[in-house]
Amino acid sequence: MARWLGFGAALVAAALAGAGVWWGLSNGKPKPCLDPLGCVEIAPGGAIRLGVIQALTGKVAPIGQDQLRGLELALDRKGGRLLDHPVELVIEDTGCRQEGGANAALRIVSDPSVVAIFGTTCSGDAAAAAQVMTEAGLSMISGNNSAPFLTSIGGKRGPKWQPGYFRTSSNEEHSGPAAARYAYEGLGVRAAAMVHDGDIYTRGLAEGFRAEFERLGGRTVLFAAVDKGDANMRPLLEAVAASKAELLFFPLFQPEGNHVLLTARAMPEMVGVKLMSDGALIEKSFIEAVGEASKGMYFVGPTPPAPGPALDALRAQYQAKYRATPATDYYSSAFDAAGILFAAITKAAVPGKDGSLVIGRQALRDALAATADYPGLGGKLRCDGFGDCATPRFNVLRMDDPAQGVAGLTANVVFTYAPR
Amino acid sequence: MAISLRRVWENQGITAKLRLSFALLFAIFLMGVGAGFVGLAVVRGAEADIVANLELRNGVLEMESQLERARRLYRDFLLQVPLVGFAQAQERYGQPALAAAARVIALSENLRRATAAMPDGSDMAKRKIDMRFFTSTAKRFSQTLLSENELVILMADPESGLDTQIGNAVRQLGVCLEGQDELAFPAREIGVLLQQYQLSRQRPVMQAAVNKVEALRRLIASTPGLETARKTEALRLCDTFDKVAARLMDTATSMSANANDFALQARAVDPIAEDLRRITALEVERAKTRIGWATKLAGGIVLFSALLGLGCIFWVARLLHRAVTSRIVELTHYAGNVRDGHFGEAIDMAGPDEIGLLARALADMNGRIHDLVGGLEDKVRQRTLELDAKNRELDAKNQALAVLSFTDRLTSLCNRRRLDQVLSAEWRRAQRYGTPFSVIMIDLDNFKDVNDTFGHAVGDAVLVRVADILLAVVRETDVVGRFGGEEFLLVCPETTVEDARILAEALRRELQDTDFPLVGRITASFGLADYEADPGPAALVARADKALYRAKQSGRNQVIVAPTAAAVSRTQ
Repeated sequence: MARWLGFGAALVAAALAGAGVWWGLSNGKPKPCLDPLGCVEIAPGGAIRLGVIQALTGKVAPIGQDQLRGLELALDRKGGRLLDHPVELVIEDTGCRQEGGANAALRIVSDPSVVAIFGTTCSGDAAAAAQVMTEAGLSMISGNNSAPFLTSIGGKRGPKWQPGYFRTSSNEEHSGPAAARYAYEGLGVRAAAMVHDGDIYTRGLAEGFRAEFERLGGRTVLFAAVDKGDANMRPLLEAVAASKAELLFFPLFQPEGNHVLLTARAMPEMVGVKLMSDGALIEKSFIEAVGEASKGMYFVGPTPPAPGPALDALRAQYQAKYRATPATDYYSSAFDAAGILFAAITKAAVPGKDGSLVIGRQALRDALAATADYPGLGGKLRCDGFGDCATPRFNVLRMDDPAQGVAGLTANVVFTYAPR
Repeated sequence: MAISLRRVWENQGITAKLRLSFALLFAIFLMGVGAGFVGLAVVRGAEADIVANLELRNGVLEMESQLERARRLYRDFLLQVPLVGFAQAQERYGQPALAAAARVIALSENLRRATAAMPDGSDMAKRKIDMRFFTSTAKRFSQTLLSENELVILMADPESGLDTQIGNAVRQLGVCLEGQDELAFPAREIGVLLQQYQLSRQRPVMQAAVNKVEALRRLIASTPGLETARKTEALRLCDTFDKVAARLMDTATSMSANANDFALQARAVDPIAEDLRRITALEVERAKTRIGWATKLAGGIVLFSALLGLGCIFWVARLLHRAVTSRIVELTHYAGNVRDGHFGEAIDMAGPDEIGLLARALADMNGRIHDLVGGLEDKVRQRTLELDAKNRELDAKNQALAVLSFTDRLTSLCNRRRLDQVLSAEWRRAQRYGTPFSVIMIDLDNFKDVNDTFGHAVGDAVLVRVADILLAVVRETDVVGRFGGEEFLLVCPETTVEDARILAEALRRELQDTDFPLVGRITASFGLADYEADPGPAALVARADKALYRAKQSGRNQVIVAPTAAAVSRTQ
């Protein structure tokens, strides 16, 4: 009997010792990662690393820079920390080129400690970057991409859609139609030419314009393209003139957009042709570069947040931090994108008792996708199943006085289109 | 600490001390062996690092060379297409470029695995991000090259490529518009623009061509003399041109993007490859350095262990000497002293070990011996004193006995035995050295009368008195003895006969003048003889006796000298 009691006591002691060892090993540490896409483990006091992919060189750099600044402003609001961990930005430049986006994303995803990606500036970059990002199991959110291909077209998944991709700029599926509707209904244009640069963003806008314009009864007399880097726009504009187009819709970036405008203004045969571009050229450097040539030109772009205390505070924060006025209004959508990303990270992260963090990659995607009623600068934001988090609303602007810059332009709204 | 260690050491037994000493030496040996093993392990680890880094370096170098080879072949392919034709260029450059790209994909996987296997903490492990980017980009380069190849085929394939298609369209358009100068000229302009485009791949050039085609289309439509069939064919060719031109421009744009992609990739990975090469070389150098210092350290430790072991051997020997040998020597010395009888010496050799116990036992034994020997000496001393007394007593008795054996009991003069010895000794000396010596035989005259008259007691008294006179008169060197009865013999060494006669005469007178109690005057006769090569002492005494006889015969109380041998022979 005593022998059995001794054996039992030994078993109990062994069990207690095992429990003690288990407790000692597991105490203060997060549970093992069960996320299907893997986890990012952040040591106590370690930095939360965010990849930033933006167009920081070239003519588009001001937009990319404002995207980065929107992120930095949101981060400043958090004191540079999330969940009591410092936030570290790993910044890569795309040059607003698709291949640049792919290379930048490859570099970012090579670092397994990166939690998510903030970017990109240009939709073409995003298409390549999002594919790399998705294959690596990361999440990505942009405050500037607007090409319909990236999320949805007509309520269906876009060809370049990738899981884990989100954006707070409006899906420009409705930007082209907004421009077309104003051209057809507001300006009475019945024959229009469209020019893109092969980028999914510009092509998407041009195709959206064509579809809506033709649906309204208009006629597409030219659908042409330029290459990035082209400077000689005369052949193109000769084709436009020859096509008898009443309006040229050219949703291009700088510098190609600049060349188109300036060349058109220099061609007598283009005098009667109305010129309309998109939000990519609603930018301070463009206005300064083309000056008076932009007078009378139309732009279609996302409706910026309505003026209010929140926006005023952000603008003041911007000016205080960078000692400059914003080159575009897109820093506000970047600010919202960063806020949504921070909220999702906070939601998805599992803090350990020792101060460490475990962030599941799928959990972060789920948290981003579950974003609803996020208090954005322009109102509540809700991410749909394709990654669009902004309510589509577009303004058509007319440049009357280039001297008033972006503020004067965005204030001169001639048409607003809100599909929902 | 040192004191407590020393105390512990001193409290150990000899066996324990030996065990501790050998354990210390063994520990030092183990330390040396351990250092050797650690050094060997470090060297093996470093060698493994070298091998891994060299493999990695080779992988990086090979992948980089394959990347460069693929780029060069692709560039050569593009350059050579117009010179050698698409098929030749594809065979010579395009396919090898694709093979190099495929090799890059395989290498990138190997390199990725090798990088993942690098030990944490190494510089290469810290560059895993760069390494992953390098391999991902290399893989992407290969994929881009494959896509580029498809684009090149789409554009430049001599059978069905877009360049061929659009060239055919322009050529057919020219043929179709032959004879229509106002139409043929724009067609030739289109051909020129097309050629310009195929050289420059600039979209505006092609756009100009497209514009020319559009203008030509309108011109064809408005030309009245053109047959309907030719017009239809020409318009169809214009449409074909537009469609192929659009695809051609998009293809060229994609190829341009790929070229830009290649440049970006090269710009991104080339520094990384350079960095990886540098790091792997550095890691190899570090590993070599690690081998160097590990070898030196291990060698140093082994040398240090050897020296320490040597020192410990001396130290242990010293300890053992102090703990064992010196104490045994001290014990031996102590035992020797005890053996030599120095029982009073003490030995101070405390300690619980065997030697301490032995020392205490020896000290106890010494005390015991000391006690035993001390009593024995007292007894010996006592017995010696007693023996000395006995010896002295015996000597006195022997001396007395000797005196008695050579002394006449009555007169205390030499007895006849002593006189014989003296005579014999003097005779041998005279015989050997030729020295003179004389004997005087003395006989009291008429002594029988004294005995008869006064009794023997008085006679003895007379004899004693005579002896005293003789002793008083003779010289110190002379020996006087009682020859028998009332005869006395006087031996005179180194004395001539004349000197002897004078001495005898002095004795005669003294005796004559002496008044003996009760007896009155007594005389004596003297026979004197000196050594004359007598054959023996008896002969000499006989001659003196004869002379005495003659003195008796001659009237007594006189001195008669024995005649010489020559005189005797003359008489005869």
